[in-house]
Amino acid sequence: MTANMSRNVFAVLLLTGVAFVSSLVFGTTVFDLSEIFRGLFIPDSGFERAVIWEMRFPRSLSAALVGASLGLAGAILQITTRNPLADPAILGISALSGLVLAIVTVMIPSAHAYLRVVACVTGGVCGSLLILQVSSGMNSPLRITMVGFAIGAFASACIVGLITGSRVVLEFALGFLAGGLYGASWNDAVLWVLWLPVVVVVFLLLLRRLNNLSLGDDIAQNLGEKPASTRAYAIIFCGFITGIAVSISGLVSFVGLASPHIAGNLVGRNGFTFLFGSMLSGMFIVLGADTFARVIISPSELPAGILTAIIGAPILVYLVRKEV
Amino acid sequence: MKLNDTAISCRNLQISYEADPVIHSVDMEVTPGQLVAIIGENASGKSTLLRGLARLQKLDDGDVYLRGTRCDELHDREFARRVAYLPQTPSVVPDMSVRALVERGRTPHFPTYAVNGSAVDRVEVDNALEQVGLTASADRSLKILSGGELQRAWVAFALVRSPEVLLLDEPTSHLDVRYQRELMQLLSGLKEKGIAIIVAMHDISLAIAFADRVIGLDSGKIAFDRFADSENILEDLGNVTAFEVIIFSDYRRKPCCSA
Repeated sequence: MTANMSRNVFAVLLLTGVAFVSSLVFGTTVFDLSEIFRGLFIPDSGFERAVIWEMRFPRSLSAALVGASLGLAGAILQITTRNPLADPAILGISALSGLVLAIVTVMIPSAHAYLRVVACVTGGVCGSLLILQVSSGMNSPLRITMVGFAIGAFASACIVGLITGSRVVLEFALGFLAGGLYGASWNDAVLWVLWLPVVVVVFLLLLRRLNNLSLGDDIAQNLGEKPASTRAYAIIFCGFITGIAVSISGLVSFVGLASPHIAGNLVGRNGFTFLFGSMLSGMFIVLGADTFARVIISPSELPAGILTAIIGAPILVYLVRKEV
Repeated sequence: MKLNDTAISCRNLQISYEADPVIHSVDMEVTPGQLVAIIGENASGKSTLLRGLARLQKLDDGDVYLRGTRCDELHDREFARRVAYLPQTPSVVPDMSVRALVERGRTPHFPTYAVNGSAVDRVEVDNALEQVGLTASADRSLKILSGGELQRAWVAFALVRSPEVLLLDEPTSHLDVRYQRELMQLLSGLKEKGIAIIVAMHDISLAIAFADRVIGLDSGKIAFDRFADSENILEDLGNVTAFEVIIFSDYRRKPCCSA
């Protein structure tokens, strides 16, 4: 890693931290840092405690989790399919996760929040398995992308069909389809506890294989790896983390696509730094989008899902142009 | 020759793509420290043969042996430590430094799930970089290297695992004349280490100048297998290429342009 890149890793880390703190500061009421400190650490600080500890902090944690999941999934999918346009939304994993959630919500309108998480994760993992199964025997990573794209389009159509056919879920559907963190609570933020250990274990097991896979299947195999199984495990893992993101925020697009490119430009596309950088970029975009979503038409709010592109697109375009 | 004396050998190798036979019962043996050029027209099966030797291609029949041991009996990672393969154009140019690429080449020696190597591995990386003359460029990005430097970086990537066998698919095809000769000189130098090197290539003059042996492949069969300095080689090459091959100035073994 060059000195430039180390500096950029630090910059991305710092910016993500700033975005996190900003998401606590801004909203219908603007707090200063001392108020935020009181809200976080002093249980009987009244109004600050109620807003910051009960509402903003868990919501920011949830936004960070969504961003980290989508950023990481995007980076892994771009490595495994060797396609710079791959992301959980384009590969249909988000839509399949959402489809299972929609089915569960239509069948059990009063489903507990955690049942919805289970539905989303199941949908994400099963979706990944389905994509792998349908594209099995196809050696070309591009074909996995095509199959995923087709399955995703099918799933999206089913979601819209289900929602329009069932009045019960109309309210849920609007926020879900646009994607956003409205109402994200501690129920969502605690999913970090599930997410973190899985990600750490997968990093330990898969990181080297993913590194080698990025050099091409033949070279990876000649380095003693099994490219097909690495790809399968990696895509299933992406299904899992995408499922968690979908359960919190619905269908947030663009983050999985843009984050790896932002990270690639800033910290290079090599190993842990790339995956970590993409995770942080995803966090930055979602935290920024969610903060804007709450501020722009305060006291009402926009779905953050439509703002991710507004935050991410200019960064992406700037970096891509700079690279040329 | 006993099978144990050969670095890599194959018996009755048969490979097909979707039921089309590409390699027909090929037998060959390469001893340690030998540089073998495989010559043949496009679609003669050169790449497929190399891929078969590298265990990247399913074999219809036959076996590949490493020092007399059937390759099927070797664990993937052990095979990886012993046989290094470079495809024709190794993927796209990865976005990383020369050193990072060469470190990746060392992964078959890492403990099972380790991402980074030990101090010994780092020394090996330095040695490989020195061997190909890229020590000064170690921290440069692969994207800004010249064609010749990039190919040398890939050779270092293959060398760093201290392989017994090096399989290279047309390593000179995108290089200009100077870099072609430079690369072949580099490969020649590796023979002293006892590495068996098999290179698929189109350039007959380079093959004759640098290889110990030239194997001609025609429609998946071995058309000839001769030492590069043997009398009949020009005639054999003529038969495979359908051209009359003449050497105007015999530059075999003579030192060529310095880098």
